[in-house]
Amino acid sequence: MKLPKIMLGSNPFHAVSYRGSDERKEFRRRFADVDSVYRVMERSADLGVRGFHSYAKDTEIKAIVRLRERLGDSMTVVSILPDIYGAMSRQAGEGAQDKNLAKIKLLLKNMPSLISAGVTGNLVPMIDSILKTELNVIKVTSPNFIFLHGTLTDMACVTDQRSLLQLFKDKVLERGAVPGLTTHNLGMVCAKLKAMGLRFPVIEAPFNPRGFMMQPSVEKCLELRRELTDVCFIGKKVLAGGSVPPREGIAYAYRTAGVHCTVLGIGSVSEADETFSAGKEILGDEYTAQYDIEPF
Amino acid sequence: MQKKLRVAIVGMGEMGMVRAVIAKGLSQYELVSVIDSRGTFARLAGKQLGVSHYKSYAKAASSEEFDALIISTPYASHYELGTEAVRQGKHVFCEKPLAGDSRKAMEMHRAAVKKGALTQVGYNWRFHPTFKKAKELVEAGVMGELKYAGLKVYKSEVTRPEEKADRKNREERFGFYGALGVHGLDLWLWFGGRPASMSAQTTRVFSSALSDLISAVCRFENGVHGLADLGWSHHGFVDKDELALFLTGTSGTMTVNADRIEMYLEKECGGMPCGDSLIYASEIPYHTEFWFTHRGLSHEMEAFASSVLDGKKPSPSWYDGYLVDRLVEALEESGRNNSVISPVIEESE
Repeated sequence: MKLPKIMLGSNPFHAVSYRGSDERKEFRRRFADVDSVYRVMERSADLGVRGFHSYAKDTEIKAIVRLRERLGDSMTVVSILPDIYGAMSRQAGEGAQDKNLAKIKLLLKNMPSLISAGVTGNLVPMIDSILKTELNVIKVTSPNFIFLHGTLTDMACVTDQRSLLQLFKDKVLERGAVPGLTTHNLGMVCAKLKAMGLRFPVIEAPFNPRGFMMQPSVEKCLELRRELTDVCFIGKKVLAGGSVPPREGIAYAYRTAGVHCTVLGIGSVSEADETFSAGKEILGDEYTAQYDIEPF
Repeated sequence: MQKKLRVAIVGMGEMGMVRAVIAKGLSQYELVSVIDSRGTFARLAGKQLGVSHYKSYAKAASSEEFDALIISTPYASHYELGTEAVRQGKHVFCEKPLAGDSRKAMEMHRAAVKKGALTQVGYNWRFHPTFKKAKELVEAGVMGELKYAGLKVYKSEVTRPEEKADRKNREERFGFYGALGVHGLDLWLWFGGRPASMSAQTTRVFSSALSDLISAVCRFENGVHGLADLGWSHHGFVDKDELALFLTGTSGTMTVNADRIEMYLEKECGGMPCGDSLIYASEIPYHTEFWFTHRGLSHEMEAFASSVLDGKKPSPSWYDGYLVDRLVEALEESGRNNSVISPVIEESE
């Protein structure tokens, strides 16, 4: 499966910003419809980008499907699962927009497996059911890679939930995609994977010149990146939540950290121009390179 | 070999699970047991975390050896659990609000002092990079002498009439205060000092037990004054960072929220430039062994473990928890009676 050197992230599409509530509100307004998300994706594609991250959110899925019609197999889709509150709402059913209500409905719906989990300690049936729903939601995008959301990766690793990670991996492989992990705790995750005897071919983690969210330390993250030669690393938070200019962040990720790929969240068409132009300048001929990733 | 804090956690709901996961991720901790009166929750959490599980604190305390207890139950049980644990010599970390009642909060604090137990309350916004940095800057005197401390906390959580289930849920959570208000009030006191007198206006828009909207003006003991504007019945505020402080000193002004610090200084000071400056949270060095869900939670737990292992008093302490509980009572009383109040504040020891 091809993994492009530089990819478009999706955080701004679901209103994630580290710069303040004003920008989050603006993103919520700007990306409320499919067309606005598609415009940024389309511009990025015009600039040679072929990798696109997506959450299991309706607008992103529809935009990806539309882009797939244009780019066909030349594009790579990386899905991040599960979008926790989205998954809860879907499990809970229609009309559960309120977070607390969704939680209650989710618990009620999963009560048999929850009780079973309480008795046996086995959460797998419950997670299995959630994954099944979420994988069906993203099916239309024909994802090439499916990564486990960072919160769940971190929680599963720190509590030694080998069976959950294995379940995720198996489910993704069943769908013909390559499994990966995202994390905010690269040090812990790598140590735990090794201890559990588990391997994932791709790990996505923060790499930026501010050291923003590089846990446990910048030095340790760089050391792991160098040592784990059988893992393809995707750098995220490359611009440190918008506090680093694209040129500086991208140069650091590839040249200092030495990640294989990066994923960059883009909030507008003009931002796509600025960011990916910087990428082109720094990467040169490598800009359109792709890694061939085999699932372990 | 690194010394570890052996800890049990009581209350395995959402927050208890987050605490447990962080405890597993920080090498300062050894998670020994989990406790929840709902047997299924206790068993599930115990199995997932690979530790023993109990339905009651008493049973856990008599069966297992641990140095500290983390209380993550609803606030109404904090008093009973907290006092019992400190009387047994446990060090205790307790979620906010400490007791929701200043008399009980003070009893908890005094019981801990009497037994030499070290205590902390879960006002984790103090550990958030921007608020922590702002405190350092204020204490370094970059704004000169602090004169004004304003607080704004807006949420959109209660924006429709109260139903029976809502009422129970709100009461169990200490209303708006428990949702986010006490975090803001703790920060207000952290920067402003102890309250000397105040006048509040309060409105119950949809709730029946506590106010939904609170506005207050306060004079602090050190002469600083400030306005607080809080509520969870404002519409369209879905971000947590609608919690902000506005600080003015004799030579500068600062606005702080979870995302950034905006500052204007009349003169260069402490490495901060004259005129406008802006510091994003992502620019403030923040490293922890294990980060999970919210910036500040890991540092808060690291701070508790470090204090206890080093035998130092943690901060924010249960006395700080008492001060917030007392402030809430004063706000509600002032609003209810439309009066100026000089709340009686008991000394720490």
